[in-house]
Amino acid sequence: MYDPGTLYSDPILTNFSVGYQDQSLYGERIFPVTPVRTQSGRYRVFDRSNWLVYESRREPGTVANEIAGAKWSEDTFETKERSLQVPIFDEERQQLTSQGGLANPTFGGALQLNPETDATTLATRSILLAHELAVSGLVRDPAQYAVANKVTLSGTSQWSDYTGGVTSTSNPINDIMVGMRAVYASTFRYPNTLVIPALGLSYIENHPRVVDRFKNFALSIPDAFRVLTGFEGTILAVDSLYNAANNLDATQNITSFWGKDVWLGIVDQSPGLNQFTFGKTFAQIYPDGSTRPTDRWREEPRKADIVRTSFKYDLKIVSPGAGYLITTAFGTTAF
Amino acid sequence: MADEEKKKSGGAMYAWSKFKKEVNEWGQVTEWIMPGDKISQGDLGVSDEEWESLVETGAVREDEYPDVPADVPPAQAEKEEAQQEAVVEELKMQVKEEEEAPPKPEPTPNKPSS
Repeated sequence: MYDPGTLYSDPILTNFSVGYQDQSLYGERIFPVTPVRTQSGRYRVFDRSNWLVYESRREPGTVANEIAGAKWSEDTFETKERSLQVPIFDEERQQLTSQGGLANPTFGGALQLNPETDATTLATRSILLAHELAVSGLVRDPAQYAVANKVTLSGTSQWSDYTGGVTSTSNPINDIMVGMRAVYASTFRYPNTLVIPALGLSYIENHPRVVDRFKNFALSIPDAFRVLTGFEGTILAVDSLYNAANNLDATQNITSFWGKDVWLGIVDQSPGLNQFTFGKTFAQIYPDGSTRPTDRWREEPRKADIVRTSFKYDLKIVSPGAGYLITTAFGTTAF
Repeated sequence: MADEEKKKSGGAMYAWSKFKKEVNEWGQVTEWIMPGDKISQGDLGVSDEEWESLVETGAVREDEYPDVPADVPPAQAEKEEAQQEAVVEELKMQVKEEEEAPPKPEPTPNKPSS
């Protein structure tokens, strides 16, 4: 019978996996991880329902009116495990350490080649790529937003279209401001995160309407973009890509997770159920106390050590009003 | 091609997002295409490639926009509807089981002790 207790959970590799942060992935920065102890459960939802003015007058000797805070969700999160394993064959190890092998410094090989770390990196990155895809799928889906919290730009209204110069139909600053107002109207807070394709930034910085507005402004100042757009907060210039091909041998199909869409919203990175944020990654804590453990075992018949990383999570949009989606902000030929 | 005709005719596609239809010289939108409105490639005056990308992102869909309040995202409404349907189904099953169950024997009255 399968007994997870018999597996060796490698503390070093687990710490490596948990601490692993690929600079080009943004999923956990937009849907922060909220560690949970149960596989499923309800969560706090944040909307305008608790903006009630309660009767708070209390007469001497009477009990104060009891009020409820944020609502609990009708929906439940249900964490599902994503797990990938990577074999390290003895032959591979032999090759690395043999005289003249890849890891031998005498022959100019890399000193830091470590098959276990490489295997953990591969498994963790692959799991996080799937997480990134799931996050971008939710963030970029117009069906996840109310009418006031989404807009699609097409033709001359796209930010890469400068037709008309300073009187162009496209107007990035106005579109971002409208988004900020929409988020504020539904949450009473201004968005603190702007997700924008990295290749689209220069289109905004050089947009005639933007240039005209800030004629006497130097682009060389450190927070030029912030001043130009009027957006105060974290700007994530997203550039993560994945290979959409079916397998390693198929022709590569490098695809952007974020397309040509722009998103602005509220993100609170601190873990906890009471955090006001657009979406969360509910990650179940494993018995070893981590949310992304790596275990290792030996498979003698295959002459291989197996390294496996697991991540049990579910993604939920907990406050749809805290996000604003601008679909196809840039034209198909822009980048 | 049928798909091509559908795109051009604008009869069967629906907006799932707001689209700017008319913008004044100050960049303010004077007319919108709202979610739920029928939309065609001709309405937006975009190329085939751009239209495809709009369909791909889900901003334009063949499915009608659900009849939900403006401040409710369609995905949330669908989820709630599915939950309600599941509850109704469960209740129906319970009623059916109760109807199909053999009638319970009537309790025999206790004989008065003599």
